[in-house]
Amino acid sequence: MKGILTLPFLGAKTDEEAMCQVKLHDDHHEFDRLVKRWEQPIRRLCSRMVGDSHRGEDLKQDTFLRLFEKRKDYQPKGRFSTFLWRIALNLCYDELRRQKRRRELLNPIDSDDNNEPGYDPVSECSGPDTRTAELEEGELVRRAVMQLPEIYRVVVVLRHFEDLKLCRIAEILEIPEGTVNSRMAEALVRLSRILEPKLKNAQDPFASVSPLNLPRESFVL
Amino acid sequence: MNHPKPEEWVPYVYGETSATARRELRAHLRQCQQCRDEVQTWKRTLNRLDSWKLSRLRVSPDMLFPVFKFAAAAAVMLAVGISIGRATAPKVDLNRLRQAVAPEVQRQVSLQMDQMIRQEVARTTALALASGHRYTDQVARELYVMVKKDIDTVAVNTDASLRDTAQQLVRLADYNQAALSPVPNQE
Repeated sequence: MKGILTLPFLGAKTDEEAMCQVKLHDDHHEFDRLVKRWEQPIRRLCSRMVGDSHRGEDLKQDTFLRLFEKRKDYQPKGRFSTFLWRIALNLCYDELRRQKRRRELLNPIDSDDNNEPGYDPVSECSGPDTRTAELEEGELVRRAVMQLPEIYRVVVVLRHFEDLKLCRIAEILEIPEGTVNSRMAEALVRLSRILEPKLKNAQDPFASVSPLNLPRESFVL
Repeated sequence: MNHPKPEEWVPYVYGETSATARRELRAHLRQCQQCRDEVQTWKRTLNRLDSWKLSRLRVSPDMLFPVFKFAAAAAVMLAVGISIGRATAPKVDLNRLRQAVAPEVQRQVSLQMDQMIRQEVARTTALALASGHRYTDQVARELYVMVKKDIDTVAVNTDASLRDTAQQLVRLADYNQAALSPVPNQE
């Protein structure tokens, strides 16, 4: 019954108004509504940033915990979603940093190479299920996205998977829109470079041995 | 040829450019194979990104809570209803009830038993009769076949004997005729 009474056309509060209620009166009902409305986008963002659905689920819980802890910091003049995205992204960055530190502790010799663009932080810690799915296109894409440095990955996730406008991304990341565009362009170049040959091979396993694909010089005797 | 910078293609690919910029970029694409290839590659890559699906969401206890809440309320209401019903029901004297009900139950049981026995007898009789009829028919058919075969055999044998007899008679007649006829004169 309560759900019906809070339908938008009957004058439900905006996210910003709801967050103000939470901030000023610790309104648990409004907070619950915000969680219900935003838990899926936040879960998707976290899962794609860290490349793991289960960890993404945990990070989603952490995000809403942090939101409640930081409720007094919320400025009503700003968008609620911007405030929430930033909390979630900061938690994702913390998690990625922790993962990197763990890797460095486990493989101190290779740690210098881990920052290279070709390094895949997830494939190393992925289980047998992930390895069997290696040839699946979705898995190839996940690995390709995880190979992107964070500054490019975040733009791809927000623009492509969460469908946010480029100007909104600039606002969330607090960078100029031109920077967002150039990071997205670089991300697309890198992704294309990784995915194009892999997917071509996955689609046509004989492509590499076909005479049509041999370099022109190989025909010269 | 002056190519647009890569970052200029990003809003174009996502349809976020102004109308003027879009027209200019489109005009450039018509002339420039290199940029056309690059943009096509990006579009292909973007389409492929969609194949990364996240695994299904685990059902959190929070999501189940409303259902659980209603189920618990229903269970409590049911328990309360049953308790009230039991508490307010009048006490029953079992012996008196048994005495009152026993004769009627006995009568009903004997009636039903009688009816069942009759039905069973009728069914068994019908079955026996039907199987008797079937057996008789079968025996008659077998007898008929057997007798017919014997008669046919006798008929065939008789026919053959008659033919033999007829041939013997013809031969005998020829012999007699030859014996009785006068011997032709040798002179």
